[in-house]
Amino acid sequence: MESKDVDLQLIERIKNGDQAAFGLLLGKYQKRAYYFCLHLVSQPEDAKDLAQEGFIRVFKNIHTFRGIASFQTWFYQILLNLCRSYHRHHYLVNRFTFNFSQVAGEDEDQERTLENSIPDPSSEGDPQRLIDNGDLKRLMDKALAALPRQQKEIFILKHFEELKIGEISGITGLAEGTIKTHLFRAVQKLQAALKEFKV
Amino acid sequence: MECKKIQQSLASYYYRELDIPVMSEIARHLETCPMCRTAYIEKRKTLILFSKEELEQEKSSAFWQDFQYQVYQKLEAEKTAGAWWRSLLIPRRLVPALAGAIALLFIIISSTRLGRREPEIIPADLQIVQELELMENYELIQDLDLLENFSEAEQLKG
Ligand SMILES: [Zn+2]
Repeated sequence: MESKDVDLQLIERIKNGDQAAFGLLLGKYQKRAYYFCLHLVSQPEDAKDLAQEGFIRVFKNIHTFRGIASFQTWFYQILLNLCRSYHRHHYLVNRFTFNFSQVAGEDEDQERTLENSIPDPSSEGDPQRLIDNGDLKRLMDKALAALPRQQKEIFILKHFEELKIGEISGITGLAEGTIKTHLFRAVQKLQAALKEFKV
Repeated sequence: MECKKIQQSLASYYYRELDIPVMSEIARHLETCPMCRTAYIEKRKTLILFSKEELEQEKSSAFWQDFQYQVYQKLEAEKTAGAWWRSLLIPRRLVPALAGAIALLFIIISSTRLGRREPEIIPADLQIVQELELMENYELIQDLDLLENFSEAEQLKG
């Protein structure tokens, strides 16, 4: 039986009050949910909370799931929305905190967000030292975190979640051509970020 | 296909997300064009580096057990909170009746008070209360300043 048919069966059982079926769905998707959120938010504790909240939303809204799209698509949409809200909240909090300490009138230059910058390799110290210290993972995390939101989401869905462009289109609502363009740009930026460190 | 277009498609080529004729065209081009081939090798190297194994460090089974346990705990907490909130809510079947009653009340009040709008005067008591609040805030700010000066002095001493 195909994975999506298994999902549909589990969902029907959950709708009928079968709690064990929810346990099976949780077991099946927990790793993907956690790592997906981790790539998007970079903070392990927050990623765990967001992934868990994703399952809670599934459970609470299971009766609204009609099975037009696959469960996987629906679930990724839920997680994506949760991570976007997380970023919005953190952006506002950081912005508020930042403005608080700014001299009035200076904040107009501070419109740039996480979205606009690849980390500056010069601020990371000696690149060779970083690599020698086995800190490549941290560098990759940082390069990923610095991607613009849509590019990051699409790269994660394609590269780590190994979804087809068509499936990503179903999740994000973007046209396939647009997704390919975002993917191309994301890979360019990641490549440039690593190149600076002669990786 | 020209080199620029090929290079823009290399990520999709890597993921095999192009139609078969386009895939073959790019494969043929990469065999004959050193510039595009180098570009592809570099891209591939980057993408291989961003591996799941590297970035998704395996968690222990205890971690996943905790994960599940916490989901159930959170669900239970929400259920309890929901039950508490539900006790404050109006039963669904009474909502239309209540809405009708509120609408009727609103019509009666607005028809009896129509045309005699009262001026917005702040009663003297309310004004005093507002002033007291302002003074309290002022005192709080002064206290905070005092604390800050005190901690600065402590640091200088230290
Ligand atoms: Zn070429």
